[in-house]
Amino acid sequence: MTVEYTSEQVLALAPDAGSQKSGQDLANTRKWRTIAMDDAAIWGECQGSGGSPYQTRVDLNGPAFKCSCPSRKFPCKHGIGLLLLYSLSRVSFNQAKQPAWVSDWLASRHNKQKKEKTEDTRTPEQLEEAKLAKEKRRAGRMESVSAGVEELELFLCDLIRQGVGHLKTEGYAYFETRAARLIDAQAPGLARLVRECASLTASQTNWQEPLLNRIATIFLIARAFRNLDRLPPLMQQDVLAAVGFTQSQENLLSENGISDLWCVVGQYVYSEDRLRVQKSWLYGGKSKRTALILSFAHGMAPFDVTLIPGHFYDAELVFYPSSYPLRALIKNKNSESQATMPEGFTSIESALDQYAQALTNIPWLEEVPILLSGQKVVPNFERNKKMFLTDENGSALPLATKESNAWQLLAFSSGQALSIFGEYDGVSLTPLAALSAGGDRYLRLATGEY
Amino acid sequence: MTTTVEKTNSPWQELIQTCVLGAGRREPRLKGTGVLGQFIDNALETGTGGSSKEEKILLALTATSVAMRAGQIAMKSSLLPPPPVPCPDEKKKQCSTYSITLLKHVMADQAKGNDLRRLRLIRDWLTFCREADQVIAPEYLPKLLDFVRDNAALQPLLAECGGLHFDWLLELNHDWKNAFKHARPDNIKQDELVEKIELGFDRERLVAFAALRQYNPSKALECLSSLWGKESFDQKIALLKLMSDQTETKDEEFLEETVLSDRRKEVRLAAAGLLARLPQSRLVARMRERGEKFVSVKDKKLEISLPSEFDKSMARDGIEESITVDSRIGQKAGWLYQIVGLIDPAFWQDHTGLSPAAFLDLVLASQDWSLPMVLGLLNAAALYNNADYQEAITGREEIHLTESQAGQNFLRNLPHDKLEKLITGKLPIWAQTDRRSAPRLDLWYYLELVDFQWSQNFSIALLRFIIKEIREKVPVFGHTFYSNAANFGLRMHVGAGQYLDDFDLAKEEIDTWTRNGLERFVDNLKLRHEMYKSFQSTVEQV
Repeated sequence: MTVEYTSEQVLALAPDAGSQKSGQDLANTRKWRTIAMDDAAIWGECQGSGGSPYQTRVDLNGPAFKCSCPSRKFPCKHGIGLLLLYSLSRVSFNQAKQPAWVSDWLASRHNKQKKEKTEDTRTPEQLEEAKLAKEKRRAGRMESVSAGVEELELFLCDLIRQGVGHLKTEGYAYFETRAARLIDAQAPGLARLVRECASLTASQTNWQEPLLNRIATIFLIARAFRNLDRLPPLMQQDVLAAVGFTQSQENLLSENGISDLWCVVGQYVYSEDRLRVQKSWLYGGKSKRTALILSFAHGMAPFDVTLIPGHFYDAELVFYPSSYPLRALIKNKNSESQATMPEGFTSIESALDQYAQALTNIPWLEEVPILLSGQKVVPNFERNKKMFLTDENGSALPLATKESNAWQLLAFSSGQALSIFGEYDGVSLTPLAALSAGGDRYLRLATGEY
Repeated sequence: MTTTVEKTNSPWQELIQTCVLGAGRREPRLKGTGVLGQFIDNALETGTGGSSKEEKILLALTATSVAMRAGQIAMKSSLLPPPPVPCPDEKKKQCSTYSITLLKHVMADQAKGNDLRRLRLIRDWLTFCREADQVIAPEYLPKLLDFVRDNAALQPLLAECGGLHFDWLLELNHDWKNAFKHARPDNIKQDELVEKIELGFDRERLVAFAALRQYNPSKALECLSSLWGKESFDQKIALLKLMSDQTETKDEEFLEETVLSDRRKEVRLAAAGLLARLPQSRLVARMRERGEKFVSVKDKKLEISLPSEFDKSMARDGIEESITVDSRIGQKAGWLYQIVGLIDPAFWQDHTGLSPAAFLDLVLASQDWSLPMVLGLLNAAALYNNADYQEAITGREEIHLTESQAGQNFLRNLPHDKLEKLITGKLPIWAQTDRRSAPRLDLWYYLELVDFQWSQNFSIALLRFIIKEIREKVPVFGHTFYSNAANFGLRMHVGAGQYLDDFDLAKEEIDTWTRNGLERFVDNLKLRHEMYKSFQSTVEQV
């Protein structure tokens, strides 16, 4: 089956804005000596500054890229350019037999995938030994985290005693030092929450309320960790995840997942401690569930998961155990482009109920994904030029987004009702994507690095 | 007597005040009701075993925070303005995704020094969109509205390409409405413009004056006359510059009576420049009188008799006593140059009875006066667009048009077809490699002088010439080659782009330096051609 990509989707795969631009420059036939395709892949030879042309190939079932250029970016501009050209002008590609440099690469990819699926060959004794070592490491870490959490609570109590009024002038180092101690205590989840307190104090007005909300969240997680044994098993998992414990993906992938036609309804990239994080929200048409797929990469390295916003995937997802499961892993994935765009809540009150429901399960949840349908976008010049969503029941919800994105959203709506997917944080909705009323047009609202 | 009413804080506000000031300084005064209230009371009184006061406050803060977030009630939409009335259905065809991709590509180019290129390409894109009677997909309009808001030249183009969504969005966004109110003539409110001219800031006043002058020149002149005495020097110069776009007979009285009497020389010069555009003006008549008095032909020779001293009437007419136009031109020759430059060349035929060619013969043979006369005639031919003199001058190889300001001014004002003919005629000469010519540099001088889109045939001829030169000769290019070539790529007729298929830079045996230089030229033309084609295609490419 021939896979379809839109130019928006292809550009979303670029590692940075520079690669997007360079890719666009290369998305014309003049830049390529040869371009060809078959059902599985596209390939081309691009004349670079070197003597021999760069050989670029794209596995359409992914997509996955490979290029002989020396670029450290991934995918490189040639990969982006070639796929972009394919998305814009497929007629420029001749159907051809794969040359060896393409077929060899595809074969090695398939072999690698098979290899990844092969079973563990360790003996039962070795397995038992590894299990014991793991438990020992975990017990040591629990001890370390407990000490860190205890120290964190003391820090929070000190803050409350002295008052947070002076924090505005403290600078980033104040929280950074505390976050570093939590990293030492092997509690990176809590460290992140503490580190972000600094940026909350940087806000010009009304910074105290968000900061105290954040302090409350940190205290809640810390206290929950101290009372871990008294919590139900699923909530224990949630507390550990919030503190920063990870779960073995291998074990998780051995469990049965949920098969559905998943639509990538929202995606953005942000940086966290010198790491790029790609956050992709998927929505299952049959299961009506939302899943969060996180992918991490250092520097310019590629993300291990390629998901294109607005694209549908026939996939099996395994959710991390949680009392309100959101984060998931992809167990199997096939591309699929024909599907109806999903429908969400038609009333804002229902969406807020959903948020309350989520907090009932995990009270420290920072944002909850919400898909709202039949909403109108209303600009309000009286309220700092803010944009709101309104439903037919007379409810409204403020949107938290850049002014340019807000106007783009309004223009996209043409004043008609539309569906919006975003993250709700208890105050406002950060829109990530919009679907036109007919479901035929998808608008990705740029956030994060793009 | 004053009464103090004690304000009661909500539990959340109470906790915030305590936490901001510090529990050591302020006790929370909480008396909650309901389940949350009981929990808070309980937390503050007992906490968990052995809890400190701060821990109790943290517990109460945590419970209230979660309760606040979970108990969020939606805002009433009645507090907001009503939703906008939907935009009417667009009748025009929406441009293709490919066209939008090309536009995004252009707009994404934020490289330093590429502003002019970006603006030109956006102008091209909008022009092609308008010519194809298509409109921009609405979601891309906001970015363009922001981009073009300070560019008066592109605003009307965007107004047309924005279709119904353009007006719809402007109605919703006061900033855009204000910025684009001159984009459509129907939106012009003359009273507002007059008010702006009278009371606005310098820049606003200029924009309003330009707009009013375009739609009601008499009113603009009336405004200007009434305010002239209070204008600063800079503002006077700027206002006169704006008048140069469309100088009319009606402007003469104001310029002659008021501006030519200004105490600043620069202002008088600017006014003289404007009056010279009006053949019936008193200034031009006075110049003709001077021409008649100072220049004559006797015994087939040019005779020049200039006054011994500079007089006040010359100064009033904008003639400078000492001018530094060319080191070979002395003070008196400078007066002659300025006077001749403001006289319609047709006058010389009436005055001397000689054809343009014959008069030029005399001028070129006149030794001392040859240079000021030629330069003056170049300016005059450009100013009065005198076809006979343009023809006569372009036929003279002794007149090097690219070597003086006057020559360049002459070329700049030549009708497009004449300039193209002139350049095409020089191509065989430039193709030679003799010592007299530096062909390719000279070519760029000619192409750089004018800022208009060249005709299709001319562009194709030039493209073929450049390709042929590169293939056949070792290029001797100056350092300006890159930018000259790239700029020409932005101004060539887009139709020439189709011939680029015959030219593959990668396969040409040229050095990297030249290839890089040509790449930008070829890329510019190719991009513009792709833009053009994207609007012509009847099939959606994506």
